[in-house]
Amino acid sequence: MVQPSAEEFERIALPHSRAALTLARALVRNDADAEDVVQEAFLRAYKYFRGFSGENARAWLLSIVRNEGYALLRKRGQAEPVDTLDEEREPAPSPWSSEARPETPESALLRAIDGETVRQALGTLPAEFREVLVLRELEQYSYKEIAEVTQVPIGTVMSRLSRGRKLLHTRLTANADGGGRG
Amino acid sequence: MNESHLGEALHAYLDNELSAERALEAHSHLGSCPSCRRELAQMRRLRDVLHRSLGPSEPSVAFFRTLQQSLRQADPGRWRRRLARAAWSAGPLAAAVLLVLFALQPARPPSNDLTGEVLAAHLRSLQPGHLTDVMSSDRHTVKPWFQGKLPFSPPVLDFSGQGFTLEGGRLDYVGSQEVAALVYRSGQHAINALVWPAPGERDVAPRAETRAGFHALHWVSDGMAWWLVSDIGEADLQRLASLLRTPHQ
Repeated sequence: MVQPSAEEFERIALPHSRAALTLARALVRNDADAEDVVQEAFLRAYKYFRGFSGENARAWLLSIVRNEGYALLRKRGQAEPVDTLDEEREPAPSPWSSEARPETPESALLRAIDGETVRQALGTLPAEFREVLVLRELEQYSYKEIAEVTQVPIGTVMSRLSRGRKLLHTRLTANADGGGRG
Repeated sequence: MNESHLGEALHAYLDNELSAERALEAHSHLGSCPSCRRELAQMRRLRDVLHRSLGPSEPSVAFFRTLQQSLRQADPGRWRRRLARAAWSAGPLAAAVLLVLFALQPARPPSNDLTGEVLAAHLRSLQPGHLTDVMSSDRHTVKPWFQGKLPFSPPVLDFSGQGFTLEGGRLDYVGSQEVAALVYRSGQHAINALVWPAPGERDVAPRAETRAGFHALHWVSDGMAWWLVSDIGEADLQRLASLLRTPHQ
């Protein structure tokens, strides 16, 4: 396959720029850096496009965006050490496993919460949780496609989503409880 | 699944990622387990909060411009042309050498390039929020909007009665050419009509091209270059073209 023209590549890549930006933003937590990450990643994707033989261009593009995002996190010294994400680790006890916890305050808190608090709370999660959460919740990716982007098994996607959501839920309700930590 | 709680499967249930059989099991477990029911309700509320407070990230126009620029710089075809320009300014000898080097490599036909540019403009416009700068089906609103923004005045017409509703307009670029984009809608489909002045060019009858499921139709009339691009059928595009080409007023 010959190198496609920039226009041909744009036709394939541009429709995915929103998802790419959503992912980059979740990873690097800064709008300007996120745009740079996507620019870099798309340029890289274009240069290596000849080598792309898969069928899912979207997952391929986003995996490059992801790598670029992590590279920036590493440069800033913010990448999560993988061992903190060891799948074998005991999950934190969830506050709602006790049957006694009343229902109403939690739902009232979540209803009243503002967007900035949510963004901040999401930003405190490990990058591996942030990425699966935004791909699932904002871009409605399937587990299979998230697995392709993040290059982990589907079971790990499910586990990270589950742990990420619980952690975020805990932080959001604790944040509101404690009057704005973070 | 009855003894223990659903755990991670609860999330797969929430995401519709369980097989029919396992979803049924989860469903029946939820019927008898208040703890899992509560957790599911909490996760649904969390999802609502996320949807409410974190919109997807819409790329800015500046983002697309920068991206296009850097992609084009990386395009080997364009590099050749840039190199030739640079060489020309470096001196006629360098230019001559390059001319010999590259003369045998055919450049991409310009008409192909233009179709690609038009298609890229169409795809850019389909990004949420990018279709129209001025949104109105009233041509008396759309036409004045272009005045002062473009050095020419595009013909703005509505064909709602014929199945092509004028939705609005925006400014766009095809290559370095500033163009007027008129947006029509036919059912669910958006149609971009891109128009710019082509002074001195002879009239060209509509010519169709299909790429990647999109149809483009190009013609020149009365010193204006026109492109229609959409995913609707070619026959429909031809119909809109003939409406636009009918003399008005």
